[in-house]
Amino acid sequence: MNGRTSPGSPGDPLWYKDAIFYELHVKAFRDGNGDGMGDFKGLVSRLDYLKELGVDCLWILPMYPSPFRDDGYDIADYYSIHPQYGTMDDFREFLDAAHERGLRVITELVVNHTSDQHPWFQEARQSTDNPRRDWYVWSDTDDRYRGVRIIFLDTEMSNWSWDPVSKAYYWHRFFSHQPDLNFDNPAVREEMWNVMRFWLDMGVDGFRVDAVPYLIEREGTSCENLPETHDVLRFLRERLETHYPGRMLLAEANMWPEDVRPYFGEGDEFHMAFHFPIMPRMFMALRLEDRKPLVEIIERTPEIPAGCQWGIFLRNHDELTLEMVTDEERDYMYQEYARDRVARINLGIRRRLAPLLEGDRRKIELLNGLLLSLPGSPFLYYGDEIGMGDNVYLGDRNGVRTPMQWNGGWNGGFSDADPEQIYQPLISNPVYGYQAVNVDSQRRTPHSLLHWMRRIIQIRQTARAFGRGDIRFLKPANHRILAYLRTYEKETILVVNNLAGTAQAGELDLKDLEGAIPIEMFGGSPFPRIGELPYLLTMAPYQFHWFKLRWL
Amino acid sequence: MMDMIAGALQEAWLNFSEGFAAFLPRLIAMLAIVAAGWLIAAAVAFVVRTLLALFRFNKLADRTGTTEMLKRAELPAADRLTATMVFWVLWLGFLFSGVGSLGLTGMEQLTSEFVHFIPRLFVAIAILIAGFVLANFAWRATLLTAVNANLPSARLLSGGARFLVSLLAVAMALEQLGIAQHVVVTAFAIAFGAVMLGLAIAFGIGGGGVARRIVDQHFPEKPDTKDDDVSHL
Amino acid sequence: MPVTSLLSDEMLRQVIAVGQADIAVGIPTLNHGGVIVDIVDAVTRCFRTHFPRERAVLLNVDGGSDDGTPELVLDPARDQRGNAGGGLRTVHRISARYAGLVSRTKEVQVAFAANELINARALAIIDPDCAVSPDSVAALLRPVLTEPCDFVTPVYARSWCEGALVSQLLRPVVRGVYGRSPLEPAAGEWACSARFASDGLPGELWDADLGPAGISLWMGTTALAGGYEARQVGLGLRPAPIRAMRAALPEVFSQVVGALFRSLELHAPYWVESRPPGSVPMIGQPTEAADDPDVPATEPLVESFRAGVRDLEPVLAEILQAETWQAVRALSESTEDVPAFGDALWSAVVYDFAAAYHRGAMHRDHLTKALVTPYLGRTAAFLAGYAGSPAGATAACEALGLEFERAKPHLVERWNPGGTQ
Repeated sequence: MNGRTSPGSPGDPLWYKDAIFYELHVKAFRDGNGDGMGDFKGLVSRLDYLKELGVDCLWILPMYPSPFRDDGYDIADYYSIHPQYGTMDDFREFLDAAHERGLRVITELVVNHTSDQHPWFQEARQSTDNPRRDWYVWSDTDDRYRGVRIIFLDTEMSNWSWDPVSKAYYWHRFFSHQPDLNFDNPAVREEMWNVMRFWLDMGVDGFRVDAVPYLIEREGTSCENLPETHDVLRFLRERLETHYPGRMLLAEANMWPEDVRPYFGEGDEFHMAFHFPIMPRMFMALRLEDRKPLVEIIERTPEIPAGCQWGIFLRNHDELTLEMVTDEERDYMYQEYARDRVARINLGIRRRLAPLLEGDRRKIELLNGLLLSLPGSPFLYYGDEIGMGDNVYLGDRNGVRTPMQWNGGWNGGFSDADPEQIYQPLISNPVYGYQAVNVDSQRRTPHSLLHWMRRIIQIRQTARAFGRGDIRFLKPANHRILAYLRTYEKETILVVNNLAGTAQAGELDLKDLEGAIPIEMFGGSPFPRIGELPYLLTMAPYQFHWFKLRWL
Repeated sequence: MMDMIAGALQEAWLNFSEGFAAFLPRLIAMLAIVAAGWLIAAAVAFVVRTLLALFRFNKLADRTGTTEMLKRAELPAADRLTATMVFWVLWLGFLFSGVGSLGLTGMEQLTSEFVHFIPRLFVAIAILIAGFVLANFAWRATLLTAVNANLPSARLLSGGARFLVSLLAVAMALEQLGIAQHVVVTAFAIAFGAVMLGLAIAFGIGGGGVARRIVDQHFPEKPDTKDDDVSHL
Repeated sequence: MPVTSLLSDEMLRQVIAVGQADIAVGIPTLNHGGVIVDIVDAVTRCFRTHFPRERAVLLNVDGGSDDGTPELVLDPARDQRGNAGGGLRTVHRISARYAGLVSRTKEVQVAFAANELINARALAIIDPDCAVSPDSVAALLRPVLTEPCDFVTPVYARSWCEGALVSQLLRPVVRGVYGRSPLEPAAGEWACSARFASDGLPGELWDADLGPAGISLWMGTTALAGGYEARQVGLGLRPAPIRAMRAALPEVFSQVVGALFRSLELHAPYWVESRPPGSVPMIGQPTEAADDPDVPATEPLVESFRAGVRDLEPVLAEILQAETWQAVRALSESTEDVPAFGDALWSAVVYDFAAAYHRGAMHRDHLTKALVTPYLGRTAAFLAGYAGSPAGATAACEALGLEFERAKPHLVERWNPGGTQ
């Protein structure tokens, strides 16, 4: 095909459809100045590692100035970098260094609310006639928008909080220290566009937009997913498309896929959105040794516009959320993956991938194999590529945000500071501690998880069908076998997974692919030609195969 | 004259003594054959019985219903019966070969006729036994079916069944023995035909209702409507 | 070495695809196209709502239906129903025919054999002619999963005059001989453990066609004699049979009473020793049947009894002991409207039949069918006795059980003339 760009190449406006994302905390990745907290200087020094791993795009968690009452999602200044992470120059240097290596960068954009420390809010509360007053949602009483659900039930009594300074209530869907911006006000929209422009000009490749469904409030509604909210999103997208084509917007909306679907609009709102319900079902299918949960959720996922893409992940910086499952499924997940109650938080499980899977390399490989072969662009969470552990006793979800483990030496190679100075202790137990699990030792071991991850990422990037193809499930009688075809243009990939911890036989009905030769993608070995009879595969425990089908 | 008489007597004596001398070994041989035959037959029968016991022949007989049939006919258990039959067949064989060894004229033919008759006799006896067992079986089966189906004259019906099967057995046995073959067969055919015709007429004219009930009983089209509406299970 | 395999290649293929499971429900069918869909749905709902985490298999053993029963069982459209209706796992469905003659016994045997490979901890067998609900199936399976229990029978709320064969014959005999009996020793549905199924697979009665009730009886007595833990669960009102095709009484006798007598033979080593009376533990409460039922008319029964005793004289005289026979004959000739067939005589009759069955007095099918006549007499006496005052019926059934217990030594004596020592 003429003018076809290789997956993720700079010229491809649909680069995010083929990209593999890597989510990281600046503070947790690498400390460049020896103060015990990760920073952009440190991150720059580790870009080669990320390039080596083979990921395409970095997703940087909030790096803005913030009182840090919500892990940085309470932004106090949209136009700057938190001093602990470095300077604006450090950030520019990081962006350039990443782009030099062909890595893209997306950052957080928290549009729904600011910190109550943000100068806008401080100005707005000064007086009722302040020009910034209307940038937030105020009320003399706390009985407007009654019946709107409170998200943080554990901590908040109401969506309204009393401001003693201006003697009025302000609206907040999240914490009371995070007042919601008023997107009915065109000035706010313009300002938010200015924020985006500021970072886009610097070279940021896109934004992960936080808390999208809550932008607009209307009396008598749930104040979620309102049509006016979509107007705001279309407004921002249009500006972006006009002035910065090729950049990307990613929505965070923890909802069922059919409810997320409107946020793609007609291809005129978000480019990407996370597919939350797939994630717990990968874990569930593995433990149940039954493909049913995965097949059901993917079959119930609606079609999305051509330029759009789902984002899928196994773990992220939050708990493994169990909001998008039934009560029965949640009980099961808790029982199987978080028998220890201390591992449970909110409606989820605060653990990393490797400990969740009991450090079983075969299961880790299988789940990563699923992540990289199911429809959508995969998001890896920092540290999971080497099988890092967690520490559930660190409170909140800090247990999955511990410093990256680079080597077995001082502070695990994360920082030259005194260990006491580190923002939170490294994992140091004998199984998952930095002396046992770290980048350097895995680099030196050819069969390490790191090498394996590098290899599978490399292989995924040889086929566009993974990112862009259709999916068709084959349903062999053996329900422990999850098999599907990914097809894009003339490329067909056959993926067969054994979800069981025992050897299994699967008979695949591949009649309509008769004559094709399956070529195993990891080793390039050809398998017997597909004939009229069911294609028999015997699978070792937790084994999976990716086959490229060739008609030769 | 006296000489002639004496000569004749002498000759006769000589002949007799020669004959006797010639016959005596045969007699002894015969006795030996018969005695040895008895021993051999008894030994073989013993071995057969032991082997049958070893292979649990009676169990097999139980399962095929043979034991029950034998019990009905007041015959010994299956293995004992088989062994006894083996004994007799063997010993009779020896007996006849012994008698044959005497070389008596006329005896040979008689022997061979008897040898030919024996199997037929056995078959006839077997047919009779089987026939009576079968007749008894048919009688009871008919009786129970008729009683349980609330049919009138259950005893008449079952008696008829027994009579017919017995008649058939006797006829077959007699035919096997070759006694009054034609008369027996013809008489049987007439009797059987008469009964069947009688039954057919009875069912057709008088017993239509009965026949329908029997048919209903065996091929129910709708829920079985027995005359009691007790729920049993 | 088995000459023919129980599992057809087709079934084996499906079993391999299913692999290991936790619970299984076996459904023997033959032309049950009209009802199978409801049963499959009920069982599926049972799996989804009561056992969402367990690996569950529906195991249809078909005798060669020509109305498409297996196809209905496997119909993929069934999966679509209630997709969101709970249950984490795929509900597996197997449906295959088996080789050989059609018999319900064989179908259960094939289900047992399949379970050897599936290894489900609890296996329920459902008679497709009985209505089942998701709850009742779950109630049968659960004790096997949660308790040390190998065999479960249901208890239904039934009016006192229903199930006379059970209350007058099966239950008292099982209780008298084995020392205890479930209330429904011949229910069409029951559940057992993997161990029980595995042990039972080489059983001796698989060649006989015992019918659904006969198999249940055989299995239940095997559980009692084999030292397995048995339970009974209260399931409320018995659902009406889905299709009203009741086998004729002589046929039922030949299957059920035949199964009873054959079980007695098989388990003689167990019961000839005296066994202390006990009870089968009950889970839940047996509910009482609500309204006062119509008591069936007894005249036809009495009539059949009188005519039967008269006609069957040579047969009964051969089976029964002389004094028993005299008593029965005298009873049939009595001038009462309904001859008073007492407990003692009834137990003597039944035990005489059992002993005659054991000594092979006549063809066994004839023997079991000959019991129909005395049974009708006894049933008439029972129905007539409590028609006015049903309150006494339960106590009467209890007394009958005691009488069979009391009379057991006579049976033992006649079972082994000359004694066992």
